[in-house]
Amino acid sequence: MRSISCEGKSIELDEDGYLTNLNDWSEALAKMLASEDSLELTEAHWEVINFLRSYYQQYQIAPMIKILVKEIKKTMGADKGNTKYLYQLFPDGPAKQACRYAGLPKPTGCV
Amino acid sequence: MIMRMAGDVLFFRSLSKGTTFLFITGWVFHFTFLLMIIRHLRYFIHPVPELITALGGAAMFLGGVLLVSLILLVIRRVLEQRTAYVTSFADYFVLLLIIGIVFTGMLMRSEVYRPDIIAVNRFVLELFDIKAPLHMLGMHPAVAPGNVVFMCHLSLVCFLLMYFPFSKLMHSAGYLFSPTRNMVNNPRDVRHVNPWDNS
Amino acid sequence: MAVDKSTDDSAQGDSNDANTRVQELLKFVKVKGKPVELTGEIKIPKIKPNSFINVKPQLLTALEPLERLGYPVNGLVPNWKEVFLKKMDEILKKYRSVKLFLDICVRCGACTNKCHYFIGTADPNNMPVARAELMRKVYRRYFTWQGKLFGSKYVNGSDLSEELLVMWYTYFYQCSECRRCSVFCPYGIDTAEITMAAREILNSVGLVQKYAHEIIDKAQNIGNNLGMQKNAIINALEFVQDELQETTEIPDIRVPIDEEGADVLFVTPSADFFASPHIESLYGYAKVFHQAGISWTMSTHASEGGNFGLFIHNYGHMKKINKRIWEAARELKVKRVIGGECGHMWRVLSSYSNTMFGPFDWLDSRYPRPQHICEFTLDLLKRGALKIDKTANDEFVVTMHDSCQVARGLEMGGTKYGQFEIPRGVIRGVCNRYEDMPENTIKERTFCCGAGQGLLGDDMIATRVKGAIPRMQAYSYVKREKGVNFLALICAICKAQLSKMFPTYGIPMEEVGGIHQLVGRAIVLGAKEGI
Repeated sequence: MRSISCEGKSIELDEDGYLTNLNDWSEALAKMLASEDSLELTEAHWEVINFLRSYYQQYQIAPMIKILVKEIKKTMGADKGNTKYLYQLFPDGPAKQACRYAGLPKPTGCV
Repeated sequence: MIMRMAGDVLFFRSLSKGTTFLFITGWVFHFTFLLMIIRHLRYFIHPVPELITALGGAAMFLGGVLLVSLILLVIRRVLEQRTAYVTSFADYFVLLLIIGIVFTGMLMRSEVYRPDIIAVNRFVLELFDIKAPLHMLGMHPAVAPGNVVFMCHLSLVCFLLMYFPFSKLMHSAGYLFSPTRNMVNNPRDVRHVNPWDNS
Repeated sequence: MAVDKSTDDSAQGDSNDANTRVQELLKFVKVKGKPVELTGEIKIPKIKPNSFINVKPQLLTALEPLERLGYPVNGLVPNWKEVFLKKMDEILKKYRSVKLFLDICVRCGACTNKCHYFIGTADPNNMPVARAELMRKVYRRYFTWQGKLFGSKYVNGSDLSEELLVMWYTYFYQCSECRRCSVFCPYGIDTAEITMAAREILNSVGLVQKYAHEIIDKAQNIGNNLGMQKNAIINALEFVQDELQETTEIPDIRVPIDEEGADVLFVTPSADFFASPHIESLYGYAKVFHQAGISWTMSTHASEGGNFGLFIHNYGHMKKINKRIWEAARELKVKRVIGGECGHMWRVLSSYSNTMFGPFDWLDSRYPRPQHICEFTLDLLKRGALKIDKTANDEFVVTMHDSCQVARGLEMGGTKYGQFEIPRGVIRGVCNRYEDMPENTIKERTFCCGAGQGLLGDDMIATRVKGAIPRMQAYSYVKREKGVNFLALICAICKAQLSKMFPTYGIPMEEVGGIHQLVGRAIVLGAKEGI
């Protein structure tokens, strides 16, 4: 457990750096988490993050990777609609790294 | 299943898969030890079966092999780093005990220390006589042959037999109950009921 | 009353200290696993004492899951020694196998170089015999009359202490219960059983590992390891169906959900409809069922095949998770139950289901009850019910990793060694080029992927990287010598672990996939030739 302060608020993270309280999320926080990994969030990153958040609100879980790929393909063009591109954006894997920035809980199970 | 267990008991099948040196020395040890026990039956059974008499000629050689295999097992325990790490005093103790038995046994074969075989035989038979406890009570114990080496040999064997049930040597019997070896692989065809699951 | 209370309080005080101490010792430290160079050779290292003593998984601290699982919620319980011994006694009585395995070891050393975690970490406590000695020491001290009489010193035992607990927690979570050591043990001692027992004892005193138990909780209460709600499952499966219809241009290929009266209930790990490369196998399964013309369904109630309850000696957890499958099977009135590509799911389904929820006389007796997807597919291939174009897989030279729980679990197809030959038969049936890895790394001697049985969490990355070494070396050997470029798997954990380890060791992640991924590529849909 650790906490970081963002916009004057102290926010709690678990051992793996995921939000303990999902309501604590803000765009500034996402930027901050990314900068800790020396990653700058571009428009493409935001596209992924926003989709993850809206999917999560509906289904209480992150979308499966194929659904994410298809969505990115739809919004950003066919050449970007593949897993490789997502790994370029999020080197630690879209399921884990992107979920963390988006304030989603960590996926469990054999994944 | 029977085949699998027989393979393990008689030929150390599982051991042969991974650890060649231990497999060979371990197997030679157990096998010659078994032959030795069979050979010693001649003190207990009359008339002596032919098979046992036939073993007599090779006894000295077998004893030598037995001793060498035991010494190799001790050396392995000391020298092989990984095994040495897990070895405890009890492990050396059993090995040294058996070495002592074999050594005194072989010593008796030489002229100098040879006990009177007929006396030994009588002594043993007397001990195993159904009335032996009565003789003891009557303070007329069997008369042991007066030979120091023989007494050592016998005491060590007695000690081994006493120690046996409380030591790791129970592996010989324990194996027969090992569920990873003695169960038939058929849970889809045959329903095995769990005795303590009552829910 | 007053007296009682004061003793209680003092006990509380002591144990709070114990708890603080244990928590301090178990504090999670992130350790990075450094991959080794791939030479293709599996080298047995010289022992380095305590080299991996700092690698410990995270503890589960969230209250609700702990309460639901029935474990202490505030860390180490005040009277932990009492609870510990009571639990151990209970397990020794219930599982006679554990007691026997504690008794019959002669420390011959045959297992010492067989564990992938020992090969990877060189920590002597990762030698199976040394790991089991951690429990044997307690056993000799408290459960044999010699130990009770003479104390720990004379029986090579050890007294309970916080340090011992920490050793247990460390090393029983560096065992993936793959049972490779058991193959080589002259007495068949199964270290997995000892590990399972140790984990349940640790749970009972309040040291609960996070990754596995969080999943057990989700599987029991939500229905799958991922914690996917019904609407999310339906969304995912419908997406798969749309994709299938789009890519194959066959409008009636389906992924049926909760359809009553279907012939087959198909259960598979939830990762198969969530993660990559798992998902590719789901496409394969759907194509096989479609082409065989067999009506099938998946269930949102039994949306998980995997059963993490197996990993600890807590029968209740395992049974509760497995129950969903048989509830769904009865509710949907199916005639057969088939399991997808998952290792421990298969072991529970095949070896324990019948005991827990049998007899299955209400299922179709012409087929194994339950059946493995590879048995099912191979049977169809043999009968010529599927049209296969093997050239679709010509870009691959395939090898297969035997998953530990399948290889050393139940024999498949009713034939000896079927669990090795049947999956290989399926691969050979859909691929032209197949090469095996070296004999001492496959079949009954297979190495674990390095993350099985509850060690797949990100917190265990150091053990995962080290534990994968033997498999990575064996793969790199056939890659170099025989040009292999695809590793076929039949387990969701293996898929997740190796698709992460391959890039770590500098091999493209695309070289990992499921067997039914290959089947799915080679199958020619629509071209039906009668059964």
